[in-house]
Amino acid sequence: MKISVNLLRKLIDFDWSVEQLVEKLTMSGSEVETIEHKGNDIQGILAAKVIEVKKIEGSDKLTYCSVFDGKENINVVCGTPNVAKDQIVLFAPVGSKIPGMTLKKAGIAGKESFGMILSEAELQLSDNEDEIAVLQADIKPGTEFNRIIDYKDIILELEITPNRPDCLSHMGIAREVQALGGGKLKIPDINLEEIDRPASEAIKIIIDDPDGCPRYTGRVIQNVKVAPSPLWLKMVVYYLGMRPINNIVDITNYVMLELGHPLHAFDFDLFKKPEVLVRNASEGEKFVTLDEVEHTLNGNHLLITDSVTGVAIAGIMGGELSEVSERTANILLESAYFDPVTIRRGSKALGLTTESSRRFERGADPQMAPFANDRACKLISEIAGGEILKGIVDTYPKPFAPVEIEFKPENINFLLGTEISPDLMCRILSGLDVKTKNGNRITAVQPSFRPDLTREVDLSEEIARIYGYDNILPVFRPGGALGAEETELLRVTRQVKSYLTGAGGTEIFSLTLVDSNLTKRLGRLESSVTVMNPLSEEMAVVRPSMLLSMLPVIRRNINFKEKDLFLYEVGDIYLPFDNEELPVQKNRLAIALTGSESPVFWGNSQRKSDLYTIKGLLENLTDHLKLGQIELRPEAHFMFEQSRSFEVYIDGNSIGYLGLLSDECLSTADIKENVLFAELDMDKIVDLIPKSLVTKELDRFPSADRDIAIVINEDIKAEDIRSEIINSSNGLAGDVWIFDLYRGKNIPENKKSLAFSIKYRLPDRTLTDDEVDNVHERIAEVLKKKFGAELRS
Amino acid sequence: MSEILEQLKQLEEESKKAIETAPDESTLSKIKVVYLGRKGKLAEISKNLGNIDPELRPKVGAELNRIRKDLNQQIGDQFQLIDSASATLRKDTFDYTLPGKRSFVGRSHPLMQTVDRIIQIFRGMGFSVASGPDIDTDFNNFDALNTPEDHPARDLSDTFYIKKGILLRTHTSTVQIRTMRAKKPPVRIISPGRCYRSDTPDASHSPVFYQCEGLFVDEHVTFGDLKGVIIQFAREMFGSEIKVRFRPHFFPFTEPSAEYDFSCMICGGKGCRVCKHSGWLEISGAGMVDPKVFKAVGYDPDKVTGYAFGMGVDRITMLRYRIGDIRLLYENDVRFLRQF
Repeated sequence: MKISVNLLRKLIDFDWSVEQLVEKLTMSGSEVETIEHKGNDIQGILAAKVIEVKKIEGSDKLTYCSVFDGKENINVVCGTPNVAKDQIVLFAPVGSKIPGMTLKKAGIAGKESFGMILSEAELQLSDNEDEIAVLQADIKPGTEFNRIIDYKDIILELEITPNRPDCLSHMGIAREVQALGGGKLKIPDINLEEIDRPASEAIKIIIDDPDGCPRYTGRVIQNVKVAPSPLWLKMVVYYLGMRPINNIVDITNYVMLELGHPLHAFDFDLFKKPEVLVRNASEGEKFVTLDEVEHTLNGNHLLITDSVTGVAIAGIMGGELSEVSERTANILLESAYFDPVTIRRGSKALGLTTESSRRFERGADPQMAPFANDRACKLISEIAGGEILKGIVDTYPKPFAPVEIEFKPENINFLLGTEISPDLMCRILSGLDVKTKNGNRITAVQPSFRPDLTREVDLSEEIARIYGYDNILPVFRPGGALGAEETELLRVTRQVKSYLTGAGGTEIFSLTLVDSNLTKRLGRLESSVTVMNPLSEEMAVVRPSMLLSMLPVIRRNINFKEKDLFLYEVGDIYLPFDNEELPVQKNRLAIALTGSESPVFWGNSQRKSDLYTIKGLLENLTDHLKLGQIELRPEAHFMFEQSRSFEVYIDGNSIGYLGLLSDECLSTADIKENVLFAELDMDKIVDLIPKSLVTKELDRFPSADRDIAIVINEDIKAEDIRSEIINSSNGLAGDVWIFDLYRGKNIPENKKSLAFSIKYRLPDRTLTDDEVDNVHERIAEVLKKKFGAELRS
Repeated sequence: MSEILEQLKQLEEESKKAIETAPDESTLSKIKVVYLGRKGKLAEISKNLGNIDPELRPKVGAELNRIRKDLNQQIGDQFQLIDSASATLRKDTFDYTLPGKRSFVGRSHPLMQTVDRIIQIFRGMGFSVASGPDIDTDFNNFDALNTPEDHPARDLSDTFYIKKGILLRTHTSTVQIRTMRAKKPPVRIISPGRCYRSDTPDASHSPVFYQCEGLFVDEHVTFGDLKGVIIQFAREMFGSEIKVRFRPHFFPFTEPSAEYDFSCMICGGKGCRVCKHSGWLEISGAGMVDPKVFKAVGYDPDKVTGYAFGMGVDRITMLRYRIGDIRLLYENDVRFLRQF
C-alpha cells in the first residue's frame, strides 16, 4: 500500500518527522518497505504562455514555438502535436531541472531551442507522454510550478498484512498514527448540495443475495462533465500507483485510497432499466469487463445488473457496456459492501485481482459505504460539476452487528508477560477507535472497520503492538530436561556425515524437486511422486532416488573441470502412495565417486576410483559404525552397468546398492566420466547398529604369522577361500587378510594367484611351531582339495 | 679350540658377512631361513649337540645361544636398513618445501553446518528435535494452523500440490501440528527441514528451501519467553553484540504475531547495502500460538499457552558466510563448497 505523506497530513496533524513516522509505523506493524521522495529533482519550472507555433519544414511532428515566461519570449522546439497558441503550459527554461536532466540550450532540426515545453510524464506527474500539460487559462505566465501544485511529496510503501484491510487506506494509517499518539483524526468534508429531486425516484435497488451483498448504496448525479482530472488529482492518483483515466474514475479511486472503500461509477444512461439488481450469475453467463476481456461466470459470482443485463462483477470490475466515458452525463455511483469470501472466490475463479477485490476480499467496512459515496459525490460536484439528486438509496438487508469482546486485563498481561494497567489498555483501544465499556470485566466493541477483532487474544495483540513489543521484557528461562532427547536417526546421521567428511567426502545438499525428463528417460517417472502444478519441467518430480538430484550436480561440476569428485548426501527420497494417505518418505545416504582416488602428488601416479574404492569406502564406514561385514551380491539396478550392479548386504540384510553407472544412464545425464554410485537406506543402517558396544579382551599371547600363496581358477571368489581358511583352522586363525592378487607372468591363463596372511593365536597360551605348521599344512591340503589350489613357493 | 667351536665361529663370520651384504628383504629372509630356520644351520648343530664331548656341551650350547641372539639382532637391524623408507628417512635429501602426501579434504555443506549449530543452540535451551514428512496433508499445513481454504493468508504462499489435499509443506509448522496431535503438553521442540514454495528461483528465492521452526507449549509461556529465546539464540549464533527487535505482524496461527529482525552483523547496525541501510535484517516470524491452533490439536487453550517461531536456515547461512545468492547453496558447485 502506497501512502502519500501529504494526503496523510490532511487526515491527521502530527508533528513527527518522516523518519519518526516511518519508525513508528514499522514498529507497530505497518512495515515501511520503501520511502520515495517525489519532486525533489524538479527545479525552476514555470508556467508560460504559448505565443506562436510554427511548423518546422521537413518534420511532421516538430514545431518551433515562442513562449512567454512572464518576462520575455523564448524560442523552443516542441515535439508534441497538441501544442497550440494561447495555451498556458509548463515550461523548463535553460538551467532548470526535471527528473533525469538539467535543461541546456539545444539545436534541434536546425533550430535553436532554449528549454522545453513539458508533458506530465516528463515531470512524473502521470504516464501521459504524448501530450504537453495544459494548465488552466487563469494561471499567470511566470508562476513558479510549486505555486501551481504541491508536487513535492513523500510516498511510503507499506506492507499491510492480510488481517488489516482498514490499513489499505490513508484513513486507516491516520488512525494508526492517532493510536500511536500522533494526533486526532480529521474526518473529510462531505457537506453536499443536493437538488430537490430524490434519488429514490431515479433508482431502485434490489438485493437478491443478501449474504453476498449485505449493503448497497447508490447516489445519482446528473449533468456531470467528464474530462481529464485536474493536475493535482492526476498526480496523487499516479503517485499512489494508479493510472489517471478521467475525473470521475480518478475520484472514485482517490476516495478508495483515502477511505479504503472501493466505489464504482456507472454511466446511468446506459442502464436499460433504472434499477440495480444484485444477483448471482447464472452458470456460464458471459460478461465483458471494462478491460475488454470476456469472462465466463459461474453461479458463485455476484453480478450487479440493471435487471436486464450485467453491469459489473460485484466488487471486482465494472462492465464495458456501462463504462463512464466523455459522453457520459448522468452517473450512478455505487458504494456497497460485499462478502469477503464471495469476492475472494469470484476473483480466484476469474484469475482477476483488482484494487477493489483486494479490499473487499480482506473485508471492507459496511458502515463506511454511505460516507464514501457522499465523499465521492462531494468531489465530483466540485471537479466535474453536475447536480446531486437528493438522498442516498441505501439497501442494507444484513446490518453489521459488532462483536462485544469481554476481556480480562490479567489474561492479557499473563499472555504477554507484562503489567499493563487496565486504564492504559482502554486508552490504547480508544486510540484505535475501539470503544470500551467498564464493568466487572471490560467490554470492547468491535469497530465495523476491524473484521479481525473478535476475541480477547486479538485485543492482546492490539494492546501489545501499540504498547510496543520493544517494551515487553524478555525472559530467559533455564534450559531443562523437558524432552531434549535426540533420535537415533539424527545421531547416526551425524556420525555418518562426520565420518564421510573426514574421509574426504564433500557433502552436498541438492534440490528434492528433480527434472521430469531425466526421470522419464531413466524409466522412473511411473514410479515417482509428481507435482500437480510445477514451476517447470525441471522441477516437477519429487526425487524417487538420490541419483536423480545428484546427476545434475555431477554434470555441473565436471563441466567446470572438477573431475575428481567424492560427493555424498544424506537426504530423503519419496515413493508413490502405498495405499497410505501420504507418499512414502525414506532417508537415504548417497555416495558418488568420479576421477581419481586422491589428489595429485608428485611422488606417485594417481589412481582412478573403481568399484574396490567405493566398496572400501563403505567397508570403512560400516566398520566405523560397528556394523557387520559388507557383502555384495550381483543384482540388477536401473542405473548400473549389468555386470557392475550389486546389492549391499550386512548380516544378510540388504541395506542398499552400489555399482558403476551404465553408459546409457551417463549419456542420459550428459556425463562423460565414469561414475561409481551407492545409495544406502539410513533407517536400515540405524536398525543394524548394535545398541550397545561390549569390548573384547585383548589377546595376551603373541600370534604366529604365516603366509600362504595359491594359484586357483579365475572364477573362484576370494571370500570363499578366505572363509575356508578360517573354517579349517580349528579356530586358530584370527585375522585372515589378502595381501596379494596377481595375474600374468608365471600364472597360467584363466588362473590367478592369491596370497593370504594368517594370524594364528590362542587366547590362553602361545602356539608351538608344530601346532602352527600342522594347521597351516592342513589348510593348504583343504584348499588343494576343495578349490584345486596349487601352492606357490 | 675344538673343532665344533671353530665350526661355529666360521658359521658366525660367514653369516654376518651374508647379512651385511644382503641387498634386499627377500635375500635377507632367505639368509634367515638358512641360518636360523627350523631346519637351518644352527638348528643342525643343536640337533647334534648330543654327539659331542659332554664337557664341551655347555660351552657350545651357550655359544649357540649367543650366536642365535646376535644374528637375530643383526638381521633385524639389516631389515631396517634395507627398508627404503627407512633409508630415505635418514639419508636422502628432503626438500621441506615440497607438498606432503595428502588425501582429499572433506567438507560439510554450509547449510548443514548451520542446521547443526542451530540444533546445538536450541538443545542447550532444552528443545528436542522433531521431524515430519515433506509431503503432508493440507490439514497439517493449513487448516490446523487456522488457515482455511478461503483465508486470504493462503495467498501468502503459493503451494505445490501432489494431489487434492496433499501438498509439499510450505513451512515446517506441520511438524508442530503432528507433535501436538501425538503428545500432551508440555512440548518444546524445534523442527528443521525442507520447505517448498512456488517461487521462481532468483538470488533470494528457491522453490525448495530450508527452515527451522520452534514451539514451546506449557502452562505459563509468555511473549516475554519468546523474546528471551530468540535473543538468546541470536547472541549464540552471531555474538553477544547482536540486537534483536520484534515488529507486529500477522500469521493466522499466532496471536499476537511478530516478525523479528537482527541488527545487521555486516555493518554493526550502522546501515549498509545488505541491510538496505536500515541497520536491521529481517529474519523471520514468531508469535503466541493462536487458541484456534490449540483447539485443532486437542489442547485446551484455557490451560496452556505457547509460542512458536520460524527461521530461514538458508537466510541465516547466507548472513553467516555473506553469501549473496541463495542458489549457491543448492547448486553444489564444489568450488563453492570447498570454501567451507
